[in-house]
Amino acid sequence: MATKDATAPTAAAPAPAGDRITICNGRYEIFPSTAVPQLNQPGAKAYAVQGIRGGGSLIGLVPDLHEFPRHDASPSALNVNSPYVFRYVDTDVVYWPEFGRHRPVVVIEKPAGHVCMSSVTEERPPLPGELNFKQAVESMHDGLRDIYLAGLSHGRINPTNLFMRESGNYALCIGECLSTAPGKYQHYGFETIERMMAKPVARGPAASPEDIYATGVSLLLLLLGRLPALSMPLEELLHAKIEKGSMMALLTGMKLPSAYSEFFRGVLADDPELRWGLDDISHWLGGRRMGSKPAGQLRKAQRTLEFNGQFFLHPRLLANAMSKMPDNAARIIEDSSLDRWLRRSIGDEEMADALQEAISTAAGVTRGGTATERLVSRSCVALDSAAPIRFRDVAAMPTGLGPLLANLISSGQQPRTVADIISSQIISFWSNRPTNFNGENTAVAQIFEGVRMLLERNLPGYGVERVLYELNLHMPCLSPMISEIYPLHLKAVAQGIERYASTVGPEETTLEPMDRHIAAFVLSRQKRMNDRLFPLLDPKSDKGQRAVAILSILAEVQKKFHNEPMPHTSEWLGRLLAPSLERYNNKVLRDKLTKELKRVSRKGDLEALLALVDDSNVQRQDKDGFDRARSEWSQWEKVARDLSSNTAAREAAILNQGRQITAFIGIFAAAAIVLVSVFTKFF
Amino acid sequence: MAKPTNSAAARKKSSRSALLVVGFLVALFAMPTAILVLGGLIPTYAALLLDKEKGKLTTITVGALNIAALTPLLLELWSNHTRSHAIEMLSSPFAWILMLAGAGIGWILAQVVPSVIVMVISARNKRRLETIRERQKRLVEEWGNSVTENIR
Repeated sequence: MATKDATAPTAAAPAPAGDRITICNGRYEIFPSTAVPQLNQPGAKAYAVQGIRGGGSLIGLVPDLHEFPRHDASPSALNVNSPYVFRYVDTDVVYWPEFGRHRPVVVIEKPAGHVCMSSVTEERPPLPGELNFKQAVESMHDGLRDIYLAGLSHGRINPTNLFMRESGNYALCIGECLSTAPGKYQHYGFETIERMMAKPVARGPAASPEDIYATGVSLLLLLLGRLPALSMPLEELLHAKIEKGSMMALLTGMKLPSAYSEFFRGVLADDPELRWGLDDISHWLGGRRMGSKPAGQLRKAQRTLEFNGQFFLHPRLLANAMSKMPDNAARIIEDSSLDRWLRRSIGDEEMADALQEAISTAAGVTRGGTATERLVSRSCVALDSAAPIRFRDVAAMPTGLGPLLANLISSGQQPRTVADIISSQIISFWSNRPTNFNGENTAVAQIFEGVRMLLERNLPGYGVERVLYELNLHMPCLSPMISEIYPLHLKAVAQGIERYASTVGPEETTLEPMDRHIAAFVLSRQKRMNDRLFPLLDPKSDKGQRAVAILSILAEVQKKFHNEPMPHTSEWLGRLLAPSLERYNNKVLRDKLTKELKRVSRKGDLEALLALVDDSNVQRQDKDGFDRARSEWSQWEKVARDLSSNTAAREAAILNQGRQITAFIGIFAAAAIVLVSVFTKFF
Repeated sequence: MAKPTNSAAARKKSSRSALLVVGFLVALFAMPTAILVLGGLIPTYAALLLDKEKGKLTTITVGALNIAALTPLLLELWSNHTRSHAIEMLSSPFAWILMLAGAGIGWILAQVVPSVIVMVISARNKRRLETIRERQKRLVEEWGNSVTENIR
C-alpha cells in the first residue's frame, strides 16, 4: 500500500550504480543495473524489482527526464483488481544513478505472457476464430470495466501495451498507463478524430469512449494481423477518417469479415453518442444483436469553399486548415464568405450563429494573443466544437493544456501560447457550445477561469508557474534549486531546500531559498497559506521584508509538513534576515536581536527564528519607544533653540528683570529704614 | 490701537495733576516739610534725568533709598516744624552726606544687582542647554538619526 510519504526521496546519499536501492519504505529493492528492456514503455525504462520478503516478480518503470508519472492516479490504480489489467504496486522517488538525480519509480507486477506486438505497424498472425476474438473482447471489456470502477482512465490502449498470457489463450491483459502523460505516446491511429488533431502531449486524459475506440482499433489490428492505414502519415489518416469514417479509413486495403462488422461499427463510431459503451459490448458478447446504428455522417456542403487554394466540403476539415493559416482564415471570416457558405451551402444556421458569436465574443476580449489569433481560434471552435482548441501552432484538448504546459516548462520552452489560450477565455466559449455543454466541461471551464485569474497576477506564487501546479497535481516542484530530488509534496520541498542550503556558503548573500516555482508550488499545495506574504517575495520589495516573508512561508511548511530541524536553511535565512533587523529603531535591541539571531539560526527551528525577528510585541514596543524618543528629541530641540536664539533680547529681558528685582530690594530696604527710624525716634 | 494709548496718556496726565494738587496742598499747609523734601530729593531728580530706561526702575531704587535717608531728617524737622529750621537743615553738610549716601547706595544697587542676576541666569541657561544637547545625543545613539527627522 503506497502511503503519502512513500514518494519522499528515500535515498539521501546517492547509491553507486549497480547497487540495489531500497524503495517504498523498505518493502522493495530495485536494481538499476538489471534492465528489463522487453518491458520498456515509451518514455520509461523497466528495471527488475524484488520484494524484501520475496514475492511475485515485479518491475520498476523509471520515466525519462521531462516525463511525469500520473501520481494523482495512483490511489485509483491501487483499487484495480483484475486479471485483465496491469497490477500497480507502489510508487517512490529514488536517486537514479543513470540520471544522476532523483527520479520517480512506478512499481508494477511483471505482466504475465508476452506483449501482443512490438510495433503497431508490423504484421502478426491474425486472431483465429470468432470464439478467440470474443475471448479477447471479453477480457478487454472486463479489464476496462474494472479500470473505470476504480476511477481510473487509461489513454494508451494499443497492441504494444496489451499482453497475451499464453499461446492458445487469447484473453488480453491491459498494460500500464501511469508512467507517462495519457495520450502522449499513443499512436495517432488509435485516437479518435478529435484527439488525433491535438498535439500528443496535449490530448489530456482519455475518457471511456476514447479508451473503447482505442480498444476497437487494437482488436481490429489483432483480428486482421495488420492495418496498413496505421502506416499512413497523421494528416492523411485524419483526412481519411473524417471523410470516410474511422472504420472505413482503418480498413483501407483490408477486408473485414461480416461477422465482426457490427462490433467494429459500434466501437469505432466517430460520434461519441453513437459509439458503443461497455454495456453495448457486454450485450454483443451475450449474443444480442445490437442493430447497427447508422454511422454518423459529417454534414457536407453542396458547394465547396475555396480556402488557401484548396476546396472544402466539410467544416471540420476547413477548421483544421484555417487554424494553420490564421491570416487567410481571418479574411474569409471578416468578409462574411464563411458565414454565407455555412448558411447557404451547408444550411447549418446553428453553426453560422456560433460563428457570429465567436466573432462578437472575440472582439470583447483584449488579452491572449492578437485579435486575429483570438478570432480564428474561436471560429475554429464554432466550426468544430468537438475538436481541440487550436491557437497558433498548438492544438490541445482543454484537459491537455496542463500536460502541455508541464512539457513546455520542463523542457525549457516558452509557455506563452498556453498562457495566451487561458487569457483569451476561449475555454469558456468552447464549454458553452451546445455539443460540449455538460457538467464535466463546465467544471473544466471553471477551473480555467480560476487559473486565468492566477495567471494575470504576475507575482511570486502566481503567474504561469502557479497555473502549472494547479493544472498538474502530479507535478513535482520544478525549481532549479530542488528539482533534482523530484519533490512531489511539501515535505520533499522542505527536504530539498535543506539539501540545497547545505551547499550554500556563508559568503553567499544574493541567493534566497525561494523562487517563483517554490512559491507557486507551496501556494498550490497548501491553499491555507497566508497569501498576503507572497507579494512580499517580489524581487523589487525590501530585502529584509522579503527575507521575513520567505521565513514565514518556510516556517509554516516546516511546522506542518516536515517537523525536523532545518539548520542549513535557518543559518542561510539568518544571514538573509540581517537587513530585516534594520527595521528595529532601538540600537540596543538590534544588537541583542543580532546575537540572538545567530544563536537561534543554528538550531534549525524556523518558527523560533520567525518568532525572534517578527515578534509583533517587540515591534510595537520598539515603535512606541521610537515615537516617544522622537517626541522627546523634538521637545528638547524646541527648548534648546529657544535658549540659544535671540541672546541679546533675552539678556535685555533678564536685565530688566534684574532691575525690577533691584527696585523691589531698594523699596523693601527703604521701608525697613523708615520703620527703624520712626521706631528709634518714638520708642 | 489708538484708544488704549490715549487712555494711558490720559491716566498719566490725571495722576500727574493729582500729584501737583497734593504737592500744592503740602506746600500750603507744611511748607518746611516741602522745603526739606524738595531739597533732599535733588539726587533723585538727577537720577530721573539720567535714567533713560522704560519704567524708570533705577530712579525708583535711588528714590526709595533717598527717601529712606531723608526720613531721620524729616522726623527731626517735625520736632521744630519751621521754615528756618528746614533751611538750616538743608545747609548742614551732615544732612547732605546722609541724603547723598542713601541715593548713592540706591544707585550702586541699581547698577550692580541686575548685572549679577544676568550673569547668574545666563550661566544657568548655558548649563541647561548642555544638558539638553547631551540628552539629545544619547537619544540619537539609542534610536538612530531618524529620531531627529520630521522636526517642525
